[in-house]
Order: sequence, then structure tokens, then C-alpha cells
Amino acid sequence: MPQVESNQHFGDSAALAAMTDERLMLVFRLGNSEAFTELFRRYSNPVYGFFRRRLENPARGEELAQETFVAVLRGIERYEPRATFRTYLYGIAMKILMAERRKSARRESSAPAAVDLTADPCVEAAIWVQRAIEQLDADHRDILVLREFEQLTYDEIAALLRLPVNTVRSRLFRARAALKAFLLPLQQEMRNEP
Amino acid sequence: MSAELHGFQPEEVMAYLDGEITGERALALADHLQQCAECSALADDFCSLSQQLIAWKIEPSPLVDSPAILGVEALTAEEAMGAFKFDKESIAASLPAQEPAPAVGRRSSLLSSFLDFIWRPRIQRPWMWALASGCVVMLIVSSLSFRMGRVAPSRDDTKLNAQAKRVGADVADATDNSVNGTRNTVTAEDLRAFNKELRANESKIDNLPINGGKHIDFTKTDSQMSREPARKIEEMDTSVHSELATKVTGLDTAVHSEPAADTVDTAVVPVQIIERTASLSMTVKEMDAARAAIEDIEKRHHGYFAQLNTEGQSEARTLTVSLRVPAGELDTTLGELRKLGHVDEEKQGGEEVSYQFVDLEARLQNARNTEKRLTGLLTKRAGKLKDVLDVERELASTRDEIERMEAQLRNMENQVSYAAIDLKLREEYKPALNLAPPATGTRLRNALVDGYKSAVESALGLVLFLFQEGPTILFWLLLLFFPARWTRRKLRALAAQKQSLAGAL
Repeated sequence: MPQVESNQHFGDSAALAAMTDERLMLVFRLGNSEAFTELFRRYSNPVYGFFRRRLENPARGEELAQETFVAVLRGIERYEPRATFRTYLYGIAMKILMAERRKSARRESSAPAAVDLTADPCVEAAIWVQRAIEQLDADHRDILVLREFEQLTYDEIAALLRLPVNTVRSRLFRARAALKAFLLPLQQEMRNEP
Repeated sequence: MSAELHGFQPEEVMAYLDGEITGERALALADHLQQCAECSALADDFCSLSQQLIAWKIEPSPLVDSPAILGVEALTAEEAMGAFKFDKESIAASLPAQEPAPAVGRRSSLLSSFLDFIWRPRIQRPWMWALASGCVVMLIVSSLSFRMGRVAPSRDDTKLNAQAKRVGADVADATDNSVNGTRNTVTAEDLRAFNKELRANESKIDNLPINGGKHIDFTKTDSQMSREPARKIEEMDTSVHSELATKVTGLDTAVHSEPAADTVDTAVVPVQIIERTASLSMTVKEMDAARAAIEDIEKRHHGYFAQLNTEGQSEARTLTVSLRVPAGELDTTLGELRKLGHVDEEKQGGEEVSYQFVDLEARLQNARNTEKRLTGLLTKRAGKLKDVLDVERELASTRDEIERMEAQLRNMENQVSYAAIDLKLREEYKPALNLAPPATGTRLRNALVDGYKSAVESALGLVLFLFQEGPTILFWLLLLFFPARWTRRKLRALAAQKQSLAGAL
């Protein structure tokens, strides 16, 4: 009995921590809110980073991250473990991001990226990476960031962007090659430093 | 790097490093990378690129350690319960204490239990919602039928409920204030003790033989009292229950004329307070004499005219009088008025206002008591400025209510002490006989004026007729002209043909 199972065995947070994301979602759907807490704990940072790397406003990124989890809550009844939870979660995040970009485009033209110099001790390297990624094509950039920062597999990226896996792989290869070319001056500069 | 030489595409190297290639192909590629310097350099480039990308770090999410996690879960609860506003503290305060759960999560087990309870799938099932809705509808219907089965609430009960509502609203305000920390909250023991006392009083009052077994509805008051702060309990008890007791005693005395139970304060209530009215419609021979007689009657009985109207000049005059006389002299006054002429119609009525009178007096007394208590509060207790202002506002409201009730009481006393007589006198019709003929010049002048008026009227009538009926006549003439002409010509032709035939024969 799923109900009994959720009440008896899923109350322990250690047991919840050992579960897969998809199982946690099912447990949460059965009524155990601790499962959602565990999912939130696992993905709050990645989802926040997802928005933070794509938006200029950190506060807005925080709001959208929370909005993503709210969307997960609202859609809990419709959730079916056809794909991985990560794909599901980032799919929601991607839709929210697209909506946000549409709204921003209507509101105002995109301002030059404001870099938070206090965000990281390796400020210069971070700025180089950020600017190099910004120079990529939008299709390549999304795939690269999903792979490098969100650590999604090729299948997950393909499912998320609704592309063939081979297309994902070839685009990722081209993105990395282009990024390497953009970052070459940085590498040389770093090598020249004593 | 060409695939023909190395046997692997560069994309495969990248995919291998990403963990996307498994099995024998991965083993073969691993061996190849150890042997091929070019492919190994490519792999190093990919690894180096990934290492460089790590430099773009993002600060930790502020959501993790913030209470926002509870906010997100609260939204779940809110959605699950419709428009219910989720307040963790209030829910935790309202729920009974539970044993600590074995869970080692950060959140309290109480909150988890609550969220688990409202998120149980069985509540989400539609048939459960339908069943619950049906139960609620049945409850409402049964409650309504139960209320309708009883006697409809009287005006007194309605007033009482209204006052209970007012007090309830004040109580709600006070509860809100207590939540905001401006007042001391009431403990659960206080509420239980108060509810117990309240039920005891209710049962006592319910047992009284009120108006043929009619009960007074305490439901609303009880439900509102269940969340009362201590400050309002005393006020509720004195204002509502004291009034109830007074009212019940009054009703009981007036209707059954039996002594009330000793648990209720007995008030001195008049047996019957009746507001008397009468109306007379009469025909008199001499209007002037009748009017003089009426004025004499009014003076002798120490009454007054509330209204007096006369109509007509010399023939068939009418006089309408609204007379107020002391209630005790109503019968005598009516007897004297009847002697003035022929009585065409007479009506008498009496409205018992004992209940209203007693109710008003009781409410006035309670309001005065409240005023005294509020004045005492102002003089003795030093509280916060907001509390003082609240008491001042309440005091002003109470005084306003007292003045209004005193005016009502005076008006009611006046109405009761004076009876109203509506008198309508009509003089008998006496046409005057005028035998003197008018002068010749006057008659000629009158004839001339009448002739002129007649000529103007007839000319005007003709013009009006043409304006009014002219368009219609014109329309039909146009419509019938051509058929008539055609018919006339045909008839003429036929006549001519007959004539020629006759001539030929």
C-alpha cells in the first residue's frame, strides 16, 4: 500500500536522502512533504545557479528559482516519471526562463551585462568565462551551460530541448570548440603570468 | 584528427569524457587515448576547458537557509486547502500537542504532520470532495429546517442577536489586537471555564417558559464566544446575558403573569402598556358650531391639536382634526365628540408596546452600566494610548446610544400617555336659493362673450380636425382616385356602347 509505505517508512530523513529524485517525487505525491524538502535541498542551488547564470538580476533569479519549485508543487498531481526528475525540473526552469526573457524583451532592451565582481575570488577568470560564453550562439550556449554547469546528460538535454541526441552532441562539440577559441587569449595570458 | 586514421570521431572523445559512451566502445577509446598523443591532447583540451569553466561560480542559493523553504511548502498547503491562509504559528498554536516524531528533519514534526494530513491523496480524490460537500449541504439544510421548525424569532430576539453580533465583532477586534500584542490573550482554561459558565446560564434560561416554549437562539453568541479574550467576557456576560435575563423576565411576566425563576433578575415591569388610537368620521349640521365644540372639548380634557385642516368655503365644508388627549380621558372625549353630529364611521385600536418599552428600558440601563464601567476604566487604569483611545471611542459610542434610547423612550412614553383621535367632520350639503335675476347688461355681455368663445372654439375645432384627419383623408383620396376614375371611364364607355347599340337597333 503506497499510503502505508509513505507513512511508515518514509518519515526518516536519512531514508529520504538515499532515494532517487523520481522516487522522492512519488513519495511526495503520496503525501510526504519531507520528500519535497529533500528535493528542494538537493536542487535549490542548481536551480538558482541555472537562473543566476542566465539573468543579470540575482534577486530575480532567486524569485524564479522559487517559482520553479512552486510550479513543481502545482504540477505534482500531473507528474509521471517518464523522464528523469532533473529533466522535468530543468524543463520547468527553462520555460520560466523563456517567459522571463519574453517579458524582459517587451519591457526594455537588454542592457549590458553587469558583472558582480564580489561574487567570486577569481573574478577575472570568471569574467572571461562569462564573456566567452556570452559570445556563443544561443543554441550552443544553452547546451553548453546545461552540460557544464547543470551537469545534464546528453539524453536529458535532448529531452529538454526536444532535439536529437546526435544534434546535441554535435552542437556541444562545436560550442566547446568555439569557447576554446574565445578563451585562448586568457590561457595565453595566464601562462605568461609568472 | 581524422576518423579514418584513429577510428574515433572527435565528438566521441568528448562524449567519452562526458561519460556518454559505455561498453566496449568506451574501453576501446580508453585504450586509444593511452596510445594516441593527438587524441590524448584533444581530451586534455576538453578537460582543461571544463576546468576553466569552473571559474564561473555562483554564490549559494539564498533559498536554502532561508525560511522560504517553508513558504514554498506553505503554498502547497494553501493550494490544497483552497484560499486558506497558512500561518505556521497559528496552526501550531491551534493544534493539540503531539508526541515528538522520530524524524530528524529541520522542520517541526507538528508542521510536517499537518502538511501530511492536508496532502493525503484521499482528500484529493474527487469522490471524497463530493461526499464532503454533500455532508456540508445536508448539515446546512438540517440546520435551516431545525430553525424553521421553531417559532420565528421575535423582534426582541433579533435585537438581541444583533447586539450579540456587535459584541462578537468587538471580540474579534480584540482578538486581532491580542494577536498583535496590544492585549493579553486568554488562555484555553479561561475559555473553557467561560464556555462552561455560559452553557450553564443558557440551560437555565432555556428552561424558562418563555412565550409558549419559544427558545432563544444562542448559537451565534456561543460560537463567537468560543474565541473571546478576557476583557470582553465580563462585558459579554453583563450586557448580553443581563439583557437576556431582563428580557426573558419581561416576556414571562407579560405573557404568562407568572413569577420568573429565581436565577434571573426580576425587574418591575408594567403589566400592559398600550398605545391607543381612535378615528371618527361624522356629519354635522353646522361646521362652525362643531368646531367651537371641538376646541372646547380639547381644552377641557387638556389635550392638543396635532393637526387641523379645513376645506370648502360656504357649502359642504370639511374639517379634519388630529387630536391628542390623555389616554385616560379617551372614552369620555369620544363620547362628547359623538354628540356633535351623526357618526358615519368609528374605529378604535390599541397597540401593546410593553415588550418594546421593557426592552428599551433594559437596554438603556445596560448602556448606563457600561458607561459607568468605561468611565471607571478611564479614571482608574492607566494603559497604553491605543487602549485609552479605544475606551474613549467606546464611551462616546455608548453615550450616543444612551441619548438615542432616551429619546426613543420619551417618545414612546408620550405616545402611550396620550391617545390619538383622528376626527373627520363633513358638513351637510345645503344649496343656497338665489331668486334675484341678473341685470340685462350683464346678460348681454355674457351672451356676447359666450358667442365669441363659441365661434373661436368651432373654428379651432375645424382646424384641429383638418390637422388630425387631413393626412388620412388625403392618403385615401390619392389611393382611390385612379381606380375610381378608371371605373368611371369604363362605365361611361359601357353606357356609350349600349347607347350606340340601342341606336343601331
